[in-house]
Amino acid sequence: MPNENPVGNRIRERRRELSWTQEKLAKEAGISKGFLSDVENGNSEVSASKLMDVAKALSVTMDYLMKGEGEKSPELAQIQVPASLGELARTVGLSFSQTLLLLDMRSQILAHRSTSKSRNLDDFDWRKFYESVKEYLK
Amino acid sequence: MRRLDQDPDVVSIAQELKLPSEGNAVSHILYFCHERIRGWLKEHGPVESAQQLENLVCRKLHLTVEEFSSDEELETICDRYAGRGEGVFKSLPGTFDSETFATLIERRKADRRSPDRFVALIDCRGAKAFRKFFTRWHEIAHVMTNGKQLLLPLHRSSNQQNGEEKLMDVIAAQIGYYTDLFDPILREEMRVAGGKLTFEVVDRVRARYAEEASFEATMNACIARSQLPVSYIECGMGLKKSERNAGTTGTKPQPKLRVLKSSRGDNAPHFHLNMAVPALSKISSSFQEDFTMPLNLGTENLSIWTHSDGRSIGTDDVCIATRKSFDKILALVTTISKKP
Repeated sequence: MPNENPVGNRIRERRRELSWTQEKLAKEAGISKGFLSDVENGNSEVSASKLMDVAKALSVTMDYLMKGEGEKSPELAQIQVPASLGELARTVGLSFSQTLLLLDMRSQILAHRSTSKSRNLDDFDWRKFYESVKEYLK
Repeated sequence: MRRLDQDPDVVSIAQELKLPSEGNAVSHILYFCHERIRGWLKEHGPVESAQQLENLVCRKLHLTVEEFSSDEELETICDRYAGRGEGVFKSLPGTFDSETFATLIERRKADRRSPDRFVALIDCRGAKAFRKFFTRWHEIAHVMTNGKQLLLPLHRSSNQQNGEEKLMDVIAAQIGYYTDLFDPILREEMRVAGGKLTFEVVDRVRARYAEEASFEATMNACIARSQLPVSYIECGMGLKKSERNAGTTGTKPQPKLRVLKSSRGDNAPHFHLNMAVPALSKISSSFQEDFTMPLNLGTENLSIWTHSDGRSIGTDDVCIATRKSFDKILALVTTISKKP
């Protein structure tokens, strides 16, 4: 059966992921709790401007709430390609999309429990990383 | 030294989790974690052991823990995930140096609700195995406080002793030794021991709560939850800092029995690092005693413990429990009567 309320379901899912109550999300997004409940249950349509407020409160993109795509937070767009990665890309002839893919793979490593690892991406050994994952860049 | 609650990494995590900007960020984050667990327990029903709690929390967080005890096991795990299209795993075998205990990966090919959307690889090779319990909870803490879909470590400081990692240790110590499960065991064992916190108590608590947890992590939890003013010190032969830095000229300084490691609970006596252990202390006599005598208990007054300028660190009576460990004496020092 097709999902008849995808937007509302995604809002509810993300809200629960954050362990937020409807009251908390409503407050963060500047909407009423009753309206939020209606949206989550598919009883009300939500305007673009209100959806933007909800997306901002939930730290997800509009795209994600509307289409379920690109579940990354808006800040992702601000990520710069580190100079050392750019240098590697030039040296080994990586395309722009391969360079971004390599950067994305690195961002999959959320944490190291370590006393020896730097988290500065310019210090990162991109060459070694590239050599180990290059077959997945094709 | 900057307080943890004012560390930019910690403040940033609190902001990402949309926690109140006023007050102590660490307290807010701990409360947030406790509330999440409380909610899951309410939905699931009570759990009876640390393992059951861990299983529940991992399930809720879509986190799979993979432990490896050899290079071959690590390779096998990485190949398995790489075979599912997660190329990043191929980069991991070379990254586990002697100082790296775990790595946390967010899978791209996994569904949001997949039980292995997050994968924590825990290094259990050699002595690292002793820390696996705490390391697992450290990784759980990372996922639990992952307010955004991307944690973006690149936006944080590159300081090795970074606030985020310290915060994860604080969270792991709180939720890994979950109050509702841990505290009753500690209270019962302390009651049996006449209200004292001794090394035997720690051993028994560890055996009952989580045998695979390290002694040190369990002891730290016992100190924090005992509600007694307890300090933990490790003493061994050593030199003062100035003696260590003096070079090779002149008379060679002689090592003395000194405090080599020190931590303490609330209102507990503060033993400075490198402080000389007084000859009259129970710790000195324990150090001289037969190596085969593992446990000891006695009382003394803190006035015999003095700084290099002759001032004493206190006037309270303390109970000292000692244990020999190789060439060191481990001691739990509990204030038993406060002097004005």
